[in-house]
Amino acid sequence: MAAEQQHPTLTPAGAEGHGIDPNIGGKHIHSTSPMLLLGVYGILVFLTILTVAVTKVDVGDFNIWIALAIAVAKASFVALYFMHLRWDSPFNGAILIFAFVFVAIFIGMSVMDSHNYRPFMHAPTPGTAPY
Amino acid sequence: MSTVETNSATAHGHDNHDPHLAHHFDTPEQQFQSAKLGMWVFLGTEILMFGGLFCAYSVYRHNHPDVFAVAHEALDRTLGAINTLVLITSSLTMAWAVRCAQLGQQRALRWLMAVTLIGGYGFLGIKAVEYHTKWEHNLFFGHWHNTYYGWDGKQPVKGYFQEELENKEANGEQPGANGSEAPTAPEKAPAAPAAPAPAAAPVAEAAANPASSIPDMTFQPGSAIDGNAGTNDQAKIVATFADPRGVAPHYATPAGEPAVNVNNLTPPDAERMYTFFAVYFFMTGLHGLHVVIGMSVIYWVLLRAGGPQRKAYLVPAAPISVGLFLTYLGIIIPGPSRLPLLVIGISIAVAGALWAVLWSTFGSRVPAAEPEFGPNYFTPVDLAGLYWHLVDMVWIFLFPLLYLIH
Repeated sequence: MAAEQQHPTLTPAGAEGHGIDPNIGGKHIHSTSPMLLLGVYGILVFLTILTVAVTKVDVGDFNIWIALAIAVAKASFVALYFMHLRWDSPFNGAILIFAFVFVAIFIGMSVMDSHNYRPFMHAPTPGTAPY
Repeated sequence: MSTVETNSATAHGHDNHDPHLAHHFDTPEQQFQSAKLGMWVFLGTEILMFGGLFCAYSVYRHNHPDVFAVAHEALDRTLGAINTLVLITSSLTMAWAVRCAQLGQQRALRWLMAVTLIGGYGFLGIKAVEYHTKWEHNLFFGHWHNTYYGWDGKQPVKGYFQEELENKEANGEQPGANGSEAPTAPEKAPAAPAAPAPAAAPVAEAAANPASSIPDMTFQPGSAIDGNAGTNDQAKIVATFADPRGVAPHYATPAGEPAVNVNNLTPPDAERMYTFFAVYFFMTGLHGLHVVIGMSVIYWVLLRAGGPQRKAYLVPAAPISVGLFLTYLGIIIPGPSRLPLLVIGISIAVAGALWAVLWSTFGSRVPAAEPEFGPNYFTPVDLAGLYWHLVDMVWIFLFPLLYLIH
């Protein structure tokens, strides 16, 4: 019964413009400022150009790791600022991180298995296909 | 009993609380956080689903690095980079739209979501150009006459695609662009494979050794990529790598050491290039499907943000834009699909435009309603945005892994 009284009444959305406090049920909700959004956008564009540029540099096996590091950095910026995780409940971020961790385990185990078969694949018995 | 009735009567009064608040939540804030948590759990499962394809990619690339190094040259790096920028830009507009919903800036909210949708169409449009180029050059998965070792008589295993070929032959259809390249009869294949001149030695060897049902596919010097020498496919693969729309191949490392290239791939690796394109099409295809779903969800939120008074043009905007997109596909794709695409696309677009004109002219006037989204309620905008950002995030990984292999 008392709970009903706590429901806030619907306040009109009001005129367009600033100075409105985004709040849900009286609780303040963070809204990202335009300058921050544009700054993150600039970083993402820069990292996109960077990831194309670094493929011109040959560092052997490290090329893939550089590409992945840049991709993880970009994904982190998207998650933290565009997806608002920086100001969210940490539990939401934990779900994202654990999903990535499980995918990494999945891929890591599968590639380790393939790695075990590598000698067989690269020294095929004569007369058989090197599959 | 009477207490319960009183409670429920009060609870269903609707006159003293936010109409968006469902009765099983204590506060709107709790409802918002629950919806967001549910969305994040869903996004987690989406990442796991894409994880399966990323795993296939990793295992295959680990086993056949040369195939990836060569086959990815057929992808257009410039278009891929432009598409990355398009998606990042639409992600920015969507994040900004969420801010506008939070601040009750209705006009900016509608425009930013519309721009996000245009970004989605732009992505799909560029993707269509890329897909079409691959299709033109036969760089496609499960290509029916190139699935196994080629069908030049070395084929000892009767696969599904060969059966399809035989069915076509039985129906009197031409098996391929060049009918003279029909495979050997299936009855002969398992017992005594026909031995064409270039492949005589390995097949004879395999026939002499009954324990091995697989022919020798080890590298033979001078055979270049001609696991299927003389067929259309060899010409098409070579043509692809000379295509100006492809990226200039780098055939040597800076150190001067010759890198693997399309000319020194082993014949089995040349065949395996089709598996690279299977990985490419399934990964980008699932991602493209997510773009379409994300656009649909954003459009639905845009309809709600527009309110009933804007339905007269926001609803017909869907068939108009889809029709224009199909027309665009008809323009970029030559061949037999062009005419139906143009006819259907233009028809849908014109019908949508007509619908909009009739609706706004003869439709009953709808009074302006209170905007649905504002500082107190913006959950649908937020969650649609989260989905769109996930689509962006998947592409952030796909782009370097598929287009930028060193």
